[in-house]
Amino acid sequence: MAAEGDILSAEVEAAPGRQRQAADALTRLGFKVLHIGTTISVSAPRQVWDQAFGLPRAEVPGELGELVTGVHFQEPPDFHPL
Amino acid sequence: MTTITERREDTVYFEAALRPDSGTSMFADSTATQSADLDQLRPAPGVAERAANLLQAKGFTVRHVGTFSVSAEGPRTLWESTFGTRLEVRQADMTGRPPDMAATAGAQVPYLAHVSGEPFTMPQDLEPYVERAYPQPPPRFFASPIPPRVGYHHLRVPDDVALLLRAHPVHDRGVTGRGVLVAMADTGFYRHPFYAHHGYNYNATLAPDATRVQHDEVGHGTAEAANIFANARDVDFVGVKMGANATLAFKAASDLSPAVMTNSWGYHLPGLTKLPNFLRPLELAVIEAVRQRGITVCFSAGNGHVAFPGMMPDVLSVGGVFVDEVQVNGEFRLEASDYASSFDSLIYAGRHVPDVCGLVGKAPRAIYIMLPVEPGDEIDTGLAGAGYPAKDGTGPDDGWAVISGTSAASPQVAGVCALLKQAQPGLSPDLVKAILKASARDVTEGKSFMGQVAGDGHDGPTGAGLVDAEAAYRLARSVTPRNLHTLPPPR
Repeated sequence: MAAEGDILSAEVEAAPGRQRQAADALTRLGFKVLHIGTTISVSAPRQVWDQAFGLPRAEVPGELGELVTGVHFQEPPDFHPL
Repeated sequence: MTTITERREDTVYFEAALRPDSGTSMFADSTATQSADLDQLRPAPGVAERAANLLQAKGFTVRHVGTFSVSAEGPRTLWESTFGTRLEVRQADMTGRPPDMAATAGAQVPYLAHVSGEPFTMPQDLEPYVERAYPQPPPRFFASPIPPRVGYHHLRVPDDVALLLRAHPVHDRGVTGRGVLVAMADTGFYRHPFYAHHGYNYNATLAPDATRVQHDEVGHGTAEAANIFANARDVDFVGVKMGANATLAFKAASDLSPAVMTNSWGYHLPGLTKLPNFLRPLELAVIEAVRQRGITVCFSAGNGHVAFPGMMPDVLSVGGVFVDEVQVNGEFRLEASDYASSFDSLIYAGRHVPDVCGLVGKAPRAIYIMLPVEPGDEIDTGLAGAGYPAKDGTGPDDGWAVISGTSAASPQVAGVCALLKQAQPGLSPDLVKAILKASARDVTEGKSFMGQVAGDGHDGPTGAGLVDAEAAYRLARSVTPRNLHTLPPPR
């Protein structure tokens, strides 16, 4: 899971055609929506994640159930020079 | 005349500050020149010339007569007798020089400096014209546009890379990547003077979760971007600095709708037969970029990694070939790099990595291409010092490092892709890949990191072989991209 300080980043899969509504709901829950595309890039403090999805295993809660189909925490990549 | 690294212990180089007409002084306090009207510090007409004549009459050599000071030089004994003072020799540490060259001439640069506490008397004839005079020490170079010299076989950008990938003949036809946007998501893009001095259109922006756009704390992005310009000097380049989320940086780069994207990073997925869920968003973003936006997306194959997204069928997967300095029958000897990955993906059936190759050094550390980095960043300090091939022989904060890996190969090939896109803007990503594979130079020696052995024709370690820009251009210029919907129906 990609974390800078206590901020966790993730990609959220929205139900088809419902990216905007999912982004709105996530914003209301305290997430920072960084990008809306094929998936939604969000970041939030660990506490917000814990309250909304439960950690360490994120499970989509009922109020987001129709909007969000998956949450994927991002890990740092390997760079390929060395 | 001299150079900055050839200063001598018997000559003093100095600036003679001219006396302003107004009675004010540029030395009045530390902020004098910031707050004063420059006209107040300007000497009366003729003062500079009169001072220069007097200095020459005393035996000094005047190099430049400026508005506020005269630049001159002269023997140490002349300076000491003229100003009734004493100089001492000091050593300047020329940051930027390789540590393993410390014993050679010029590594430590001697210069003459005023001895602290010694008297200094301005001669009476100079007094009306010259307020003060100061010996000038050599500056420190934080990042030179010219790389340091190291004593082992390595390549330089842009020329060596363009030469070995045969991009020069394409440039000679006026195809240099002009009008083609190339994007790269990486660790950051420091404004190294290398880029400005070459006149490259090198721009940086931030992914939405990144900060400090002027800096590259690692050095990776700053270095590898130079490989693009080596093959396509006139591209419009934008680097997207990553924050914590690499997928987000990729999407931000894709949103700019570049013709070509290059990515020198990935995830190591050894033995996996199914893509981990956390990488599905990145997979989707890559597919969208290639299939819906028509972007040619290059990824490095990895340095012993089973790399994703380098293994995705949609991308141009770039491996590594090492070119020796030895020529055989007029050609440089090519061999598969034992530092670069080659493998068959277990996740995407039938997918072999790599498709083609760029230039990559050999194990243990692939120290091969001299590239610009932010002075003192992780790569600059991590590789600095004597002891090739474990260390690169450059300084820890000189703004240069000798690296490669498939991180270098992907942007090299992206540069060639840009040449093809200038020649034929309508080329699809699939067609670009097909052209590069069809025109690559066969590599028949060496083996990859994974131990696959090169041979005649397409092979495991190098795929189709080393990219040949000229041959690819010759194919691309004659291709006619066809829109299936406008073709006449079959009869």
